[in-house]
Amino acid sequence: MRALRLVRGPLLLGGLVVAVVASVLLGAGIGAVDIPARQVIAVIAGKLGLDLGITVSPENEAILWAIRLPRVALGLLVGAGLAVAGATLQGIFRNPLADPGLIGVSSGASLGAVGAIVLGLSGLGAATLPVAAFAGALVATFAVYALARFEGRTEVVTLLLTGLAVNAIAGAGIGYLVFQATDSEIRDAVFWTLGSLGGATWTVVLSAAPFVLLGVFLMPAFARELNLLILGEREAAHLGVATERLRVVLIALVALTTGAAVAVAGTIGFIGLIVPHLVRLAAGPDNRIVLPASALAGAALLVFADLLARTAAAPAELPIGVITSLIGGPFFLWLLHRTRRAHGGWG
Amino acid sequence: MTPVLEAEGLGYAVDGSTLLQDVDLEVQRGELVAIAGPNGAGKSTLLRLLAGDLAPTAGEARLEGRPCRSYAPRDLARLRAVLPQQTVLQFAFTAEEVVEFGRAPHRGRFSGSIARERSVIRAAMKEADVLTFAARSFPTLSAGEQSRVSLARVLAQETPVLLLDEPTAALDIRHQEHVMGVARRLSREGRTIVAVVHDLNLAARYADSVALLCGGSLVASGSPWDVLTGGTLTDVFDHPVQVVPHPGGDRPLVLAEPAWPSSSP
Repeated sequence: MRALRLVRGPLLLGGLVVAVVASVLLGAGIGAVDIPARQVIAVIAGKLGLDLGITVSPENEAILWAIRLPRVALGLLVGAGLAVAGATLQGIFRNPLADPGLIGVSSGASLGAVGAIVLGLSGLGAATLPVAAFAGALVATFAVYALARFEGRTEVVTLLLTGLAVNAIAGAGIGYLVFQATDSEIRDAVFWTLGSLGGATWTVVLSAAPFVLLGVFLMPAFARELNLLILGEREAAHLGVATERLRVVLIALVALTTGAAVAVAGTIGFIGLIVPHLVRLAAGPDNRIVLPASALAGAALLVFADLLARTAAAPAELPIGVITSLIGGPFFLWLLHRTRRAHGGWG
Repeated sequence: MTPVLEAEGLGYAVDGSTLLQDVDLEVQRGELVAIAGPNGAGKSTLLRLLAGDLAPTAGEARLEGRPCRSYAPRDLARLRAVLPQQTVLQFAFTAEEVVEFGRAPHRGRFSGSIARERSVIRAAMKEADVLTFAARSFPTLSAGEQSRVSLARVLAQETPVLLLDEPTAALDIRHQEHVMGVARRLSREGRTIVAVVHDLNLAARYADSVALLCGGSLVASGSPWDVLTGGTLTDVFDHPVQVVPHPGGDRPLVLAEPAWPSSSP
């Protein structure tokens, strides 16, 4: 039993690495023009200075390098970021139903980004949007955190209702700004509510990458302390965790990661909820596995979801949030049902 | 000799209501002290002040001669472990994983061998009698089982001082006696233990000394025979109580008068 638990984590991580590679090859290979996996590999290797001796037509190379690969890279980044942020939020709130979208972190980020566009802010260059989104996400997270917690834990119902209110307020703000905006630069409200990877260019990828990667690599470093926090606020303190400092650091990282992801891809729902749950079902709740595995699974899942969004109604493109919410909504209902049954109420 | 734990003029007030006032208490190394008293007497507050959870609003709580709140969290976690009344866990960690969390303060640069870690965890689980459900998910256990798993976690922390908040509240009679017996033995081995105990007979049978609280003040402290007298208990609990020698040994036996029908003629 114990041996099984010990190998489950590494096995899962190994499997997920394979899934990420598969998502890259398929995500880059499939589209209006299908490109074989070996050519995808050749182009990526070529950009890294390796000549594999595989010929790729200039058209295919252009499609891959200018259109498909930046989109895949954006999917990997955003998926990994949202999934790790979700897993971490669930730990901070000690509540498995926390999700950046549901509790209003994402819409706070959207409001920040839209606000920056409408106000014409550009003081930080390419980093302006991610930083503005970070600020919005930070305000939303701390607001929910301060309002929804009671005696060191959050009840499901309080958390979700608080998130509902934050989402409504941020949504009204976004709606108003989008409605008022004459700036042609602002995207339509659909982008901010259902998300899209359609705007992917290498410039966009690079503007978000440092922030997202910072969160994706730093949050797992706190996995052990997050485990103790999940055991209980006081329990963690009794075991030597500086709980206040830990929470502030983690909330900042969640806001940074979510903010950057939302700034470049809008609010893509439920990734932060579904992915950590599936990982926990497969490998148990230990965050030393859950956080890195969520990063990998989220990356692969979002690239696959985007592939579906691009191809399901081709040549038209579905907003990716339609796909993730279609899967995530029923999943969330099932989780609610299960939580309610397990705790005999809205504990 | 400096007491291991010490309260001096200790008080705590929140939102204008005083939960604890002017408590003086000394706990020596190797002592097992029971904190007893009616509901709302300030027992848990006293324990939380001694644990360093709360900052006193009056006086001082000291551990090894230093104010409890002056330690870095990790140093404190190597000196004292705390058993909470209840642990609510929403994630499916196994009982064994929860016990492993007790080792957290000792992990780091100079962490011991894996074999030693495993043997500490196993010994703690054996002590708390939780080996039979080691692999079960903590949230699915009964309240009593959860309480024992938490006790095993606290034992795995291997600290010289143990602060236990109602370690026996959810337990059946066998495990009540077992847990108090473990506490007694650990104290004989040199550990210092302060436990909030509701059952006066458990306090009477196992504690070296009893601290009796009422209305936020320390009413009496000393050996069970000195503190647990019929008169004092009748006053403190506002209910007629008799104390007789326990037939099985040299300890007091506390008997409450029935509230019905004999006490209301």
